[in-house]
Amino acid sequence: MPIIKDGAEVRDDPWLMLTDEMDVPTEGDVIIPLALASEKAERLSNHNGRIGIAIPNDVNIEDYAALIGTADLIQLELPAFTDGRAYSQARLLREELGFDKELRVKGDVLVDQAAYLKRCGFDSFDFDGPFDAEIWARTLSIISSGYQRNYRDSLKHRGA
Amino acid sequence: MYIYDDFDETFVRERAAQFRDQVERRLSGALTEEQFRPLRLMNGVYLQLHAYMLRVAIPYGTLSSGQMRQLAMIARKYDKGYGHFTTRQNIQYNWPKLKDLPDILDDLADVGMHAIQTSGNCIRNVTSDQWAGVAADEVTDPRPYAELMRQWSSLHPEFSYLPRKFKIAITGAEQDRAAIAFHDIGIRVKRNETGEIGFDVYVGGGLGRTPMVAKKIGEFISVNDLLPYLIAILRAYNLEGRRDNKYKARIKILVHEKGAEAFKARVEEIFAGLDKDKLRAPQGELERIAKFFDNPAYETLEIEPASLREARADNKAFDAWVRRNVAAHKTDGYAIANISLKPVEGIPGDASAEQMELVAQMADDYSFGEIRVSHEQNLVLAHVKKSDLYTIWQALEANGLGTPNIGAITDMITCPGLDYCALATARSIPIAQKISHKFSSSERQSEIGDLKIKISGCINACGHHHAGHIGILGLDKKGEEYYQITLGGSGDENAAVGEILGPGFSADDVADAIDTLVERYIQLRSSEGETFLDVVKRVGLEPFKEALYADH
Repeated sequence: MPIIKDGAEVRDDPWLMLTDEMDVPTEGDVIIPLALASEKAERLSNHNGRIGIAIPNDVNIEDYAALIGTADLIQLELPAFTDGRAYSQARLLREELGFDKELRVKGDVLVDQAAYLKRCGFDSFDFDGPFDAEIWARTLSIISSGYQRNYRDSLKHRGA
Repeated sequence: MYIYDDFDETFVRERAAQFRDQVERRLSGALTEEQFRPLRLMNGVYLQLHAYMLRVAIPYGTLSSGQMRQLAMIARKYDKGYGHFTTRQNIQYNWPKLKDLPDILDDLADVGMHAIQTSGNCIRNVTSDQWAGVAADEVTDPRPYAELMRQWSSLHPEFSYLPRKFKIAITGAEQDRAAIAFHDIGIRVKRNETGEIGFDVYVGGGLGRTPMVAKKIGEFISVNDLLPYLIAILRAYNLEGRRDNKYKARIKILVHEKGAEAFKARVEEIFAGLDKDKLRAPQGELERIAKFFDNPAYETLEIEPASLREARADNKAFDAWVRRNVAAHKTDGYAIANISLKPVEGIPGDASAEQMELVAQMADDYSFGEIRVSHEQNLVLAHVKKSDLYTIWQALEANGLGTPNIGAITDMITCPGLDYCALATARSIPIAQKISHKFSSSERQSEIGDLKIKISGCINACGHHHAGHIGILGLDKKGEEYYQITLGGSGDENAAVGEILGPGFSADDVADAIDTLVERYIQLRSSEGETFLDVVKRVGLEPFKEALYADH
């Protein structure tokens, strides 16, 4: 499971994904599934470390604005590369809820989708390998311009 | 027409380079077919029964003569010397090789063309009225908005992995020639009392196995709000559209299950939250685009030249062609010349490389170098002088393009069917050919008048059979092809889904069944002006059922 950020593999990702059976550790960076967030809220309030939230792709992001406002990382899901709900969730997070911390996508990410995901606001990618840094860099830069303006836009636009 | 600037050209060339890279990775095995599939589909490449098929975008059906010549060159160099114009105003090549596809895309980029989003679960080629900008009944020209939407939807980062394909059509005329009611989004451009432009937005129309007429959810949306409003619709669909069943994944099912009112409320809720200023077209962009669609340099001409009257009086075949294929132009002395791609017993929508080149030449000589493709799979020379019609007709007639049947019974929409398509359950083209043979006499066609037959080779309804005055649906029953007939469908401003008449017919019997229906119509009509569809609406299905099934 490589995690890619800024075009390179993250060797020691600090984030620990919590599951149902696990206790919240006293320290370190943890990602907690949205469904467990209220159950573990008390333990988390004394937690010494950053907290991320993993949000499934069938929930209405806007319903969790308050919780999202406290998060240090949001992880959205791509259960299959054809399931594009997370693209819209990401734009809602970035453009309407003003979320400006790390936005991670986990799941069936294809290298050819990375440019689209990035434009929707994702900055890290967690998927089953293989990862080829050269192909990654090439596919992300092959289209230099865009007709739509996007989050932290690095593309060329008409007249600019 | 719209001409690419450096920005558009760079974009399309980079897209072609991206696809070349994807094809190379597929050929090297770095991409599996499963991974390659959505990538090739987003660039118009299908795997059909016998070969790959490439669908090239013709945005809102408008082509320059130079582009048409390039399409002819591609047909000759990479295919079998012909191409197929489609119901979405595109062109398909049925026999290209995978390894040639990147070169074809480069050749297309040379003339400002591409295959972006002509398939896949994304926003498809935006379609429009083939008479846009010239029709006598037009309120305003929809093409600047169509081009704006083409650009906005190209490689859209948020809407490229939708639940299912997404089709947008726009019209600016009273009479709907773009079938907007059968699109995921249909847009009607309107003008209010003070001359302002706005858009009525319809959503959730479609054909396929669950045909539905679109519902109006947006009333006179302002020009400035067009893109944000579309984003709100697409976002609601992307988040909430069904992904559990491909046959229930179109927006029409979401609108139907949620209810049009509730869907409208959701769109308005999303719309209200949008940071619209960032999502609108850039300042001045629409004006920049609109300049490309200014009127060409029309001359001041007499309304009805004597030479045309004389030629029509002298030549019955020409007169028949003028009556059927020539439509009213907004400018005095000019006409819209429609070129039928439905010759008797031909393959509907097919054109040879030579025919494409001839049409390109006609466009250069007589129609400001511009050609249109209609969703009914014909071509249009949109600005010809009435005094040139006879010369044009002679050239067309000499090259198999003079068939006088626009809007007549042999001007059928037909999907490729089982002769090409991997999804088809029955053949469509041979059925069209049999009907075409049966009604080949132009006198008989003229007597019958306006009658739209539409044929699909499976329930996916690519041949629009639901919208046919007579619809024909090819099915398979235990290895036998048989054909179900529907009556009363319509794709115009009074859109309706046709109703099934009764048991189906074998391939050999369909043309006779159509003949029986037509004979009954002739008996039933109150005057020559009462069309087939009028009669079906007036008398219902019963008299037609009786004619077809009474003996059985």
